[in-house]
Amino acid sequence: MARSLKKGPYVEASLMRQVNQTDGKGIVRTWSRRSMIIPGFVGRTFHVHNGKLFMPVFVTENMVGHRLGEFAPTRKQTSHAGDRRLKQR
Amino acid sequence: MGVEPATQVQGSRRADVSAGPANSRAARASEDWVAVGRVSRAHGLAGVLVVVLYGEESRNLCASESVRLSLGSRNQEFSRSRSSVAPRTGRARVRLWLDGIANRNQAEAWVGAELAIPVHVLEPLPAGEYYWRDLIGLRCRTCDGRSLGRIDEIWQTGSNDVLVVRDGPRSLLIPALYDVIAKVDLESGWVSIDPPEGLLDADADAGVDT
Repeated sequence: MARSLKKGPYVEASLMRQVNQTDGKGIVRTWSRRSMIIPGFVGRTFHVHNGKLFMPVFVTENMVGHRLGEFAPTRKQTSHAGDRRLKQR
Repeated sequence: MGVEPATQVQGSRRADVSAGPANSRAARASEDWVAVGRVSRAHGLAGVLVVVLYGEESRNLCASESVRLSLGSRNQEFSRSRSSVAPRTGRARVRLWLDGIANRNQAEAWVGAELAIPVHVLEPLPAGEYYWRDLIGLRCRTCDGRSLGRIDEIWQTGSNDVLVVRDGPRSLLIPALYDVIAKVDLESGWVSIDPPEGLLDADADAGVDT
């Protein structure tokens, strides 16, 4: 069952406080993987804990509505470099 | 087409990392082939190979007229007839027709082999894009000259890619963003970053890889 619209998106209170305090500058460090990405987060970089490390996650517009934890994998996927390419964003 | 003596097709990534930047670049320059996938099984009776690619797509493999299969001490070059339909562009698992592999028995003999293509076939990339193989092993430093370590791995997340910079037991996770990566100098083997406030502090606290 989806979350009630009346409540609005879930964002950890401490995370929201940090975001407001840093005022668009610097990196916000959080363990709250369950917090939803809201439009106010776009353009910010979060350090999201994956159980071991803080993964840097840059929030873009198409990530709104997803959870922060979706972008900080908890399992390490090893792969050959092959002809893989890295694209700066 | 012919059997060649067993040679090291591609330098070990670990070996590159432990060597100096000049040595690793020299080793990389001597590599004429780049491994792009692995043969997973034979398909059908006509000697078709099913190859799982390391990358997401097969554009470079499609452009290559010759490939090399390596299995244990066996290395052999094959040509691909351009008239063959497969592999199709955009697939990560492809069927491969090779001249010289004409039946299932010959195809099964190469199951588990690594598939490599010539380096010169790799398509040039636009600005802001780099092949992983070019970045891994480069040294990383801040814009003010502070050395941070060497790029050891690259992680893909759902968002930005992440460069894993290691200096001893310490790991730094650098997001591959235009705002963070100031300059990539492949010639001299350096990546300069302009870390935003808190990036290096957070990693110093929690980025110890045990």
